[in-house]
Amino acid sequence: SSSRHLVTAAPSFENPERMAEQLGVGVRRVPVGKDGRLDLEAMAQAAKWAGLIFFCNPNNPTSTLHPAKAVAEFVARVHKESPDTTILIDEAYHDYVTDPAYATAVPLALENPNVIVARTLSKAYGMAGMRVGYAVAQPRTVENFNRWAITFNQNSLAVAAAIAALGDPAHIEQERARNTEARAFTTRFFTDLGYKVMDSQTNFVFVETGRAAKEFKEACAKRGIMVGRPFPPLETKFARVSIGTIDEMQKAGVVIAEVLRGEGPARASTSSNPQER
Amino acid sequence: MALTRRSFIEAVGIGGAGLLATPRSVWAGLLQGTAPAPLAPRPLLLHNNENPLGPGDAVLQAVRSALASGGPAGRYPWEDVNQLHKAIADKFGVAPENVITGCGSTQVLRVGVQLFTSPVKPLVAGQLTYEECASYASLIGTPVRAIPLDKSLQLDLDAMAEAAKGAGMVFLNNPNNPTGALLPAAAVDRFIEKVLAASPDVVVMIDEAYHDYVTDPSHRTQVARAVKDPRVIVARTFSKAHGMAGMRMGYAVGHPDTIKKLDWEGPNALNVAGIAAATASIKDQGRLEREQARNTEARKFTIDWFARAGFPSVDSQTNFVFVDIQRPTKGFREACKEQGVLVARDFPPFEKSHCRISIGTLDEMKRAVAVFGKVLAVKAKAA
Repeated sequence: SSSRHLVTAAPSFENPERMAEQLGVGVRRVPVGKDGRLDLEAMAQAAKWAGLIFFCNPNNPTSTLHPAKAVAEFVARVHKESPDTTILIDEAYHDYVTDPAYATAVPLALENPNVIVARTLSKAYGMAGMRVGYAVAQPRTVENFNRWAITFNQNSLAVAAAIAALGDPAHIEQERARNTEARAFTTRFFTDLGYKVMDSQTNFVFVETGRAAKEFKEACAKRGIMVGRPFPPLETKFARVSIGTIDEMQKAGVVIAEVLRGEGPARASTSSNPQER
Repeated sequence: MALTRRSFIEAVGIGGAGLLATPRSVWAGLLQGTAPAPLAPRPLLLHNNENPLGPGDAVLQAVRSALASGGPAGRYPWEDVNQLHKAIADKFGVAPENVITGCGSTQVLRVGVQLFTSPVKPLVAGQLTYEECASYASLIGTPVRAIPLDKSLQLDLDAMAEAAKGAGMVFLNNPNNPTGALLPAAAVDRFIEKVLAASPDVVVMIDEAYHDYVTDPSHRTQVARAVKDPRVIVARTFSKAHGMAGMRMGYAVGHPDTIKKLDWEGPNALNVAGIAAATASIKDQGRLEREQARNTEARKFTIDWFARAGFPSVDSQTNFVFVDIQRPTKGFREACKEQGVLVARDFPPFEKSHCRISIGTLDEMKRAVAVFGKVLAVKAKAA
């Protein structure tokens, strides 16, 4: 609300802070650590009197995560000092995690009225165009949320698709395996060229290219490869590159290597879109 | 073959229509792999002002393509949204900068209330009108000046204009839901000019959801004014005559500055199937005209039936009628439901006398009036 602020990491998924700005709500942006992980100590400090903490785990765009124990401790710590602060844990990339120290925070949401876990069908489920997401929380918390939701904000086809998708866990296992292989390939590609890659537990990598994200993106786009938008405050040196199929990453690798070496002819440019994920 | 709501879903091949009418508990059973309980025979759905024929073949084809393998369902639909805005703009002879889309016109109305009203800038609306703006206003702490209808069950424009002084937004639903009544363009023009002259800050939101069903020649859309005046917005929907209530597509037309302000979500609220459907539908003027004609015939049949039976209706310019059934809505609704006909919810302060009944196909209305006749033959209970 206008008197209770939002706490978010920098960089993190921008949607909550964009909405907060539109609503005239204060935003405290807490820089991530050097390893791209959310700075739990600093975020806990910033959380005093906050209305909402946006906790993206794994984090977009840095691709890193905090293990289950650290998340539970963070929640307990925040609520000890600020029991009314709601913590929204965004697990959009949950299905791509392979780190055994990670676990979903859904149990925390079920036992705590001020914790909500958000999920989406836009990533591993491959339904970005269908616009289906969901959250898990205590019934009273959900009721309160629903008072504000647009009635019928899900279209009928997406509902049918989501039910079918959620009923097919084997498909997600396959998708995770596919991504894990392509992620390892992509990470090796960059590290072989001498570029540091953050420890990715998602379907994208956050690479220290050493150059401005904007220019890197434009150079890649000219050559037919669309990579991620700039993510302040790390946009001067880091680029986010999503992970496609291994075949796509091989093709992209040729182009990206050229761009990083500062060579190769520019081909016809493709349009880039400001509203990206 | 007539494309009903039911057959639309089956034809797209996503599973039976039954799935979508299934209660949540059965969904849970589906997830666990148990078979759903058999469904009761489907009642006549005359309670939500839906188009009984659904969206039509061209739209169905467009949706199939949008969901085809290798198609765009896995990608965010931002480029497709631009194409839709262009198609809507072309239809009205305006620019894409004059158009915004949303999750139903609901989204446009709610963002409007969010932007233009506040605890010190009230919403002005008819006491009996589409409830979305007032509901959301109450949620965010905006006071609502609810203006009673006049004696002829029309929105009281003089009283609304008076109440608009110092207000943030005036909501005008024309034709009005749930009465079906239309205000002629000349009266609406005078009203808007009066409101804007007396209240320099107020915005007028005109909801023309039922525009495509209007046959009265005194009607004219306010789109031309809206594109020129940043304080007037026209909201439209794909849920009624376009027949795609389940696709969640709506839009507004207005001045570019206002459209920019209304753009809270960007294209994130729109799904690929809905975008494909809306793009195809907005280009099919012929189908809209046929739908208008179809509705006009079924509407006349329904109004005439009630009139002959002694129950007058408000002169409807929409796809529903507000009938003076001379008894409480609740009892009438429950009795109709027992006989397989669903009619609308209560609309205070007329819940002791009137009922809103949506217009289905002519065939459906013939079946419905047989039920209405039986139910109404029972003497009206004392209020």
